[in-house]
Amino acid sequence: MNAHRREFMSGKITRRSFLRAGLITAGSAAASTVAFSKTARAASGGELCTLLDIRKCIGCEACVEACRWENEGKFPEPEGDMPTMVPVDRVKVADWSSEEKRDVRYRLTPYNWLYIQYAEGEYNGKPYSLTIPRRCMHCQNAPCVNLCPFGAADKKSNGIVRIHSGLCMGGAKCKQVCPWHIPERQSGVGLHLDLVPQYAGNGVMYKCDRCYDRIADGKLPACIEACPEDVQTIGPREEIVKRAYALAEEIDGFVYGDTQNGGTNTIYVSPVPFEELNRVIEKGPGQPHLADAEDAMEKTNNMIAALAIAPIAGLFAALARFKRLAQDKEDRR
Amino acid sequence: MKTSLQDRIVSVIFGISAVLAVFTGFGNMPLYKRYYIADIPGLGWSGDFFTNLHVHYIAGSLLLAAAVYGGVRFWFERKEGTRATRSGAVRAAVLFFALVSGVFMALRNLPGIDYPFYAHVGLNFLHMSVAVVFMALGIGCLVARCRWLSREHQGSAPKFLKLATESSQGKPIVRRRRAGS
Repeated sequence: MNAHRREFMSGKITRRSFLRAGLITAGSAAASTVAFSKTARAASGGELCTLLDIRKCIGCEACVEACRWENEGKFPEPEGDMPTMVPVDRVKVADWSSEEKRDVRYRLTPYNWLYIQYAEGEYNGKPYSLTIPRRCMHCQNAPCVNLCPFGAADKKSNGIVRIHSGLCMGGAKCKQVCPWHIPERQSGVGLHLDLVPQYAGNGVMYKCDRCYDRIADGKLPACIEACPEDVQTIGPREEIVKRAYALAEEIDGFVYGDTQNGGTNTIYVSPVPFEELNRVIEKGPGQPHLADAEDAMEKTNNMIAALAIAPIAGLFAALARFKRLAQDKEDRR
Repeated sequence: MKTSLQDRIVSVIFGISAVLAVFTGFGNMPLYKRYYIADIPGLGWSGDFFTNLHVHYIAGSLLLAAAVYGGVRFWFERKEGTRATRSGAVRAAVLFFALVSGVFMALRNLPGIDYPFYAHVGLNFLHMSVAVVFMALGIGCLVARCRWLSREHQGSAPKFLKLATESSQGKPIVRRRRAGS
């Protein structure tokens, strides 16, 4: 556990925890106008993208609190005991519904769709300390959307990747195919309980839906609105990418998220290389990496050539056969 | 309708790719690791979703090639009296929907192609349902030894009689006279 987390968890007052308390409320009101016009413009078509300037993040967790507050109604509420899954040694129940577990803020959970990652170290001979808001990257060609066998994961035209909790079976395929393993499971809820609760499915997967409902109403996502430091900006992807690279050039920094997994709609700009940040951050379940991520769908999509060639091959094989038959007939004459 | 070595090779490709497509189709759901299928020696690959999908694409492509081959042959040989049996026609229709929905699903995986939510869910369920029906029909027809095609009786018999004289196996039904009639 790093120093910042220890301070937070022990309740010591630090510059960051002080700011967190004071700014959490002020931020919500003050930042409500940030980038709103861009949201409205992008709503008319095209994908929305967020830019996170992590130099500005003070780790106050205002975004985390706002996310939890805003999305409380979407959180799972299991009723009764967890079902005994079959086979019990293979299907682990994931229950985050106790008061203690619901409070977890140091990683992604079904009740915590955004958390702050801490990075401390030395780069170019200078010490650095950065806090990084982490959540779903909202990939442009999301493997969770493409590979969900039930179509429960959906990508909206504005770039939001959302899991429909009413359709999700909790098989966690989305988590396995996600390069950052973002979605988190809550057992004991969802559609599978009405079908074959013990033998197929295991709850529902949850992750950031970038406040799709607020965006539909022309509002900003809660985390952006609440941020007292304007860490995040939202807007049309093309503009955001331009701004990200311009900012990176200005600060001699680095960009993450533009090309990873073939392109995402969450772009980080940092003064420290992401390879270095990835080395120092805590990684593990619910704590995504910052390493480069290859396009998960690339190999699959290269195979579409086989599907394109197949009908042509079938057609030519059949025509070749007819040609031979016709020749046979002619020869017999 | 002559069967050549080429036809037999296509039949074998069709059979293997159909079995593989159905197997990997089920493997697209998180079942094989859960139910120890991926623990069977030689089937470890089926527990990896991407490998499973790649094999599904290959099987689907072979199935599509074999289906186009069969379809084109049938189209030309209709003039010579080749007809689909009832079970053959049903299987062909189901296979058509399975293949077409599969191609649309593969297109959806390409960058920049997104379908509306309901179309996306509908396509998934259509593909799954027709694949399951095709599997069930395939097993049923294998057991009952149903054929896909038959050569219709040549001659001047009315069309409805031609239909009535064809069994589900594509063989002519021999009608026995009732005693006393």
